[in-house]
Amino acid sequence: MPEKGNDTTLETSKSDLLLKEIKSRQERTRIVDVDEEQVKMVFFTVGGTLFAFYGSDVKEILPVEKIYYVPGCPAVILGVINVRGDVESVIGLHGLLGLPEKAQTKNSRIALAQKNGIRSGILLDSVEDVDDIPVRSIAPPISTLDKNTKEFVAGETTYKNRNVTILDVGKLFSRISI
Amino acid sequence: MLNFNENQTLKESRILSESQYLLFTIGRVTFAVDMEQVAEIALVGDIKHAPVCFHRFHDLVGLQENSGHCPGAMPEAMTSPAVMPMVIPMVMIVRRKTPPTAIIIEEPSDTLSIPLESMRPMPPLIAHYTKAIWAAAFIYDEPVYLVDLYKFGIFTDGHP
Repeated sequence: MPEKGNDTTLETSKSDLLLKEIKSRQERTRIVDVDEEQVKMVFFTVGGTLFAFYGSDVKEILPVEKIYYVPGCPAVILGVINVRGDVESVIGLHGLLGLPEKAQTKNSRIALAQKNGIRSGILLDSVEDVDDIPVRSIAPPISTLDKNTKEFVAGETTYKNRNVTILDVGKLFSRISI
Repeated sequence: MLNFNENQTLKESRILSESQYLLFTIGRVTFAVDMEQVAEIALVGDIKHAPVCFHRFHDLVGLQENSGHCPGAMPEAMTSPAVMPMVIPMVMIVRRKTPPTAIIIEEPSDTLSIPLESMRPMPPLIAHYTKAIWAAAFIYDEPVYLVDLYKFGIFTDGHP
């Protein structure tokens, strides 16, 4: 039978061992977290549907103030806004995506987006969140997507257990510039 | 004596600092036209220079083309404003263009010198569609669209 002192030594050793293992596991988790490539996304709704833009394409999210009509533009271009002295265009997604138009509410926002040298505001019904998601959670667009939306899709992901269609800002701008 | 480059610089700086603009509003949208492009402003019956062509300004800028919005669903500012029948139809006779052309506007509200630093180019998505509207300036928190009459594509000669 081991002496009492030896028991203590054994117990200490066991606790040290356990502690070491716990720390090791924590470290492994942390390493996994660091290695997991993340991408910032802006989650928003238009016409009751949840969409996302890549965060790198969105420069700013603005409250909706007055949008001024510009003659001669297609209906998808809603007008211009004054952003600290600069004039920026504002486009609406409802028409492009074939979604029902919705009246502006206090939740409406304008995402000031930039891609391929073109900058414009995009009117959104609401911004749900701005969050980092793992790159591996982004899947290619599903083949059953609505044909109006398909043209502008960069991929699919999930957010709070909801499927989210990621829209490509560059494709949206290109479509309007054609 | 100034050399060619100095003369050019002087000419450019004069153009940039001295331009006067004719302001007028159609359907709640305010436009500004460089006075150098306007030979005469007159009531339709009082024109001195007989123009060959008449155009309505709101047709040229497409004021009635953007009517795709549902007025009940979108704020009024985003829909094409209704162009009211003109009570006092006035015309601008366009200077130095062929054929001699009159553009019908509503009564001009003012002439104004718009400083260069107040002007902003139209955003690229809009500039794609509005060739003649080349810039905007916010004056008293409202946009004024600067219009180059020579870019309307109604003249047979080139841009001077």
